[in-house]
Amino acid sequence: MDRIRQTERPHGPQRPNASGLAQAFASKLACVALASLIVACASDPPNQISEGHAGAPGVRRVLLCPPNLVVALRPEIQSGANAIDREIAAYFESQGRELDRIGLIEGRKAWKQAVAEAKAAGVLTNAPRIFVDRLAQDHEFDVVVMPSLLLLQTRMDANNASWDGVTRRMKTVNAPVLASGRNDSLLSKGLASGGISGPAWVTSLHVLVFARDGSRVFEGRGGIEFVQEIDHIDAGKSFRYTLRPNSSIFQNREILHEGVVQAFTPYLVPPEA
Amino acid sequence: MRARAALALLLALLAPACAGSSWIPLSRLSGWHAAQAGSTRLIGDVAPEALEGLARDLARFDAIFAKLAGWPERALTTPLTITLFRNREIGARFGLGRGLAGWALGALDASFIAVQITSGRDEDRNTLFHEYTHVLLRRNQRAPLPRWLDEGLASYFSSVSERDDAVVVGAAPGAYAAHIARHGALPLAQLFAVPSERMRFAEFADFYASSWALSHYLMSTPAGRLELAAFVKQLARGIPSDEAQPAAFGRSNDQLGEELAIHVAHLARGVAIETLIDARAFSAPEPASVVALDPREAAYELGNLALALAAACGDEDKGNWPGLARNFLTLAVAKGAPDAPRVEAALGEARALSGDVAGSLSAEQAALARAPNDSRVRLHAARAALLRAELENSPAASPALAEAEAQYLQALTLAPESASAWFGLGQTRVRMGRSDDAFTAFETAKGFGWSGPLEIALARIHLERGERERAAELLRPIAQDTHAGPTQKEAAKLLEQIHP
Repeated sequence: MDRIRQTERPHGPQRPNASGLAQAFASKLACVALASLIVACASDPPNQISEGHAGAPGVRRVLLCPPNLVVALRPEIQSGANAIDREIAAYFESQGRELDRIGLIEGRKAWKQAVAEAKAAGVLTNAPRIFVDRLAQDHEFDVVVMPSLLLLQTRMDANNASWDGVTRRMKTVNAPVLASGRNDSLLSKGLASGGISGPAWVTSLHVLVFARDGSRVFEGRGGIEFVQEIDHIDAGKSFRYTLRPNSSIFQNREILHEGVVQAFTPYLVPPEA
Repeated sequence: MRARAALALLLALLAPACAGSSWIPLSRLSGWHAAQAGSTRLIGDVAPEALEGLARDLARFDAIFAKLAGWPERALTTPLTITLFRNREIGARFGLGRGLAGWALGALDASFIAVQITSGRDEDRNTLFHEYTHVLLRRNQRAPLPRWLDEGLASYFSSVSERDDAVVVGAAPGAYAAHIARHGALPLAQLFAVPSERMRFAEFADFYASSWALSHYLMSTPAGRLELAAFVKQLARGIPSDEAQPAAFGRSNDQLGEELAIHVAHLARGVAIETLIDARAFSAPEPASVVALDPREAAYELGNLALALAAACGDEDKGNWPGLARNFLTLAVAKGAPDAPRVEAALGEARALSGDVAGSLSAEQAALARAPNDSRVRLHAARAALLRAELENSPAASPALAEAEAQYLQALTLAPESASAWFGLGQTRVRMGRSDDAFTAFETAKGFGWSGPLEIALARIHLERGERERAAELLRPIAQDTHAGPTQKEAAKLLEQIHP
C-alpha cells in the first residue's frame, strides 16, 4: 500500500483539496447521464423505435460499441460480454449489415469527453450527439449500436419467470429423486416439481441505436437467462437447496440469440417474422 | 454474494463443523490435479483445463495487481498453496459451504487459500481473486490492516477482469450495489469498530457491502488512494486505527459518510466507476503445466492444509484440525505415498498435535531414517519434537528440548531462510530459558517473514528486558487487528500490562 502513495503526486499536504474531490465527482458524472437513462428505462418493457426506422432501412454500416461501454458490467455476469458481443455481431451480419468496432478504452474516452463537452455547453442531453460526432472522425458508419448486459431482479414463480420478452425456467442440479410406490406422495411430488418462488437474479441485454446525426432511433431490451441455478443439498436425502451461480450461463447460443432478437425487435426484423 | 472469511472468522466457524466427522476414504480423492505457476501451487478436484485456466488468470491478476499497487511482481515468493474443492463434503471439512465460499491463511513460510468451486464460472474466479488479494496484501504489509479495509480491498480487486482491449478494475458487484442501495452503508463509526468475532452471520452482508463500498470510493480517485496510503502508513507506525483515520482522511466520519452515500447512489444506478488499463501493458503469462495427482498425494496436500490450520489456532484451541490432518496423512502413509518420508514426517507432527507422543516419535524416526537431508522432513520433525517436549512438560534442561533444538538447527542447515524454522528455534530456546539466544532467532526469523505470534514473542523478550516502549510498538498493530483472534487478544492483554 505504501507504494500506491508513491506513484501519485499529492494535490496538497495530507488530503485532497476541495477541487480534487469536485473533479473526482465530475468524472463520475460523466457516466451518470446515460447509465441513469438506461436504468430509468429498465422498467419499460416495450422496445421504443423512432418512426421510419423499423427494419433499419438504408443502414449498411454499423459501428458496434463493446458491451457496457457506459453502464457498469456487473462481475456476476462479466463472462457474458464476449458471448453477447459475438451473438450481436452474428445477428447483424446475418441481416447483411457491415460491422465496424471501437475498443472499450477508445469508446469510454470518447464518451467521457462528449459528456464533459456537453456539460460545459450546459446541455448534457447533447452528449450522445457529440459522442457520435467524435466517433465519425475515425469511423464510417450509418448507426452506432451501444449494447449493455444488465443484472436485474425479477419475480420467480415455481422456478419460472418472464421478463423482457422471454420466459425461462431456472435450472435444477442435484435434484432429489422421487420416491416410488407407496412413498410417492402428492407432497413429495409437489415439493420436487412445484419449484421455488421468490426474487431471482436475471440478466437482460439492453441496446441503444444512435443515427449518424446522434439522435436515438431505437432502444430495446431482451431477456437472456437466470444468473443462478437451484442446487439441492444432500441430494436424495432432503429437499434443502441453495441458489448458486448458473454453471452454464452464456453458453447456450439459442438462448443468447433469442435475447438478442428480442432486444433488437423491431429495429431489426427477425428472419422468421 | 457468498461470504468469504479470513482466519479468525474461519477458526470460529469451523471447529463445530468438524467435530465428530467420519474419516474420508482415499477413494474420494480421485480426479485431483495440480498446477504450478511460480511460487503458487493450485490443486483441486477440478478438470485440468479449468485448473490451467485459473492458474493463467491468477498469473495475469498478479501482474495487474503489482502494476496497480506499484509493487514489483512477485517481490516476495513465499509459497502459496491454493486448494479448490468441488467435492462439497471434503470442502465442508475445511469449513467451506453453508455461506462460506473461500478463506485465506497466512503463515510464516507459506500461505494457503481454500475455495469452494460451485459453478466454475465468474463467481468462483472472483472468490479466488478475493482471497488471493488477502495474501498479496499480507505479503507486502508488515502490519495488519483493519478488517474493513482488508475485506474491502479484497472485494474491490476480486472483480478484476479483461474484456475487449482493457483490463477493468473496480467493477461493482451487483449484489453489493443492490444491498447498499436497499439498506444503505453501515454508519462509518460502526464499520470501523466492527470486530470479527462479535459479528453475527446475518451482519456479514452489511459489513462486506459497506467495506467494499468505502474501499471502492477511496480507490476510485487519486485523492482517495492517497488518503488510504496515508492511513496504511500510519497503521504501520503503530498508530491506532481510530487515531489514524481522522488524520489520514482529514474529515469527520459523518462527512466521509455523506460522500460515500453519493458514491454508492451512482454505483447502484449502474454508473461504471471503473479503472481501465490497456491490456497490452501486460504480457501473456506462461501456461502452467497441469499434472494429475495420485489420491495419496492429494491426501498429503490436504493433511498439510489441516496441519497449517492447527498451527494457526495456537496452543489453546486446535479444534479438530489435528484429527483431520491425521485422517488424510494416515491414508497417504497406509497406501504408500509417493513421497513417503515427507508424509510420515507430517503424520508425526499431526500425531504430536493430537497428543500421541509415541506415535509421533516412531513416524519421525522412520521419516528421518529415509530422508535425513530433506528440509521439510526436518522441519516437521523439529516441530513434532518441540510439541512432544511441551506435551511432557519438559524442564528447561531436558533432553527433549535439546532434541527439538537440534532438529531445528539441522532444518536450518538445509533451509537457512526458513522463517518458520527460526521462529521454532526461538520458541524452543524460550522454553530452555535462553532468552537472548531466542531473541536472536526471532530477529532472524523476522528477516524472512512476518507474523503476529512472532511479533508477540519478540515483544515478550523486550518486556523481560524492561524495554516496555519497544514491546508496545510491536504489540500495538496486532492489538488493533480485528482479524487475529487469539493473537490479537494476547497482544491486547500484554499491551494492557504495559499501559494499564
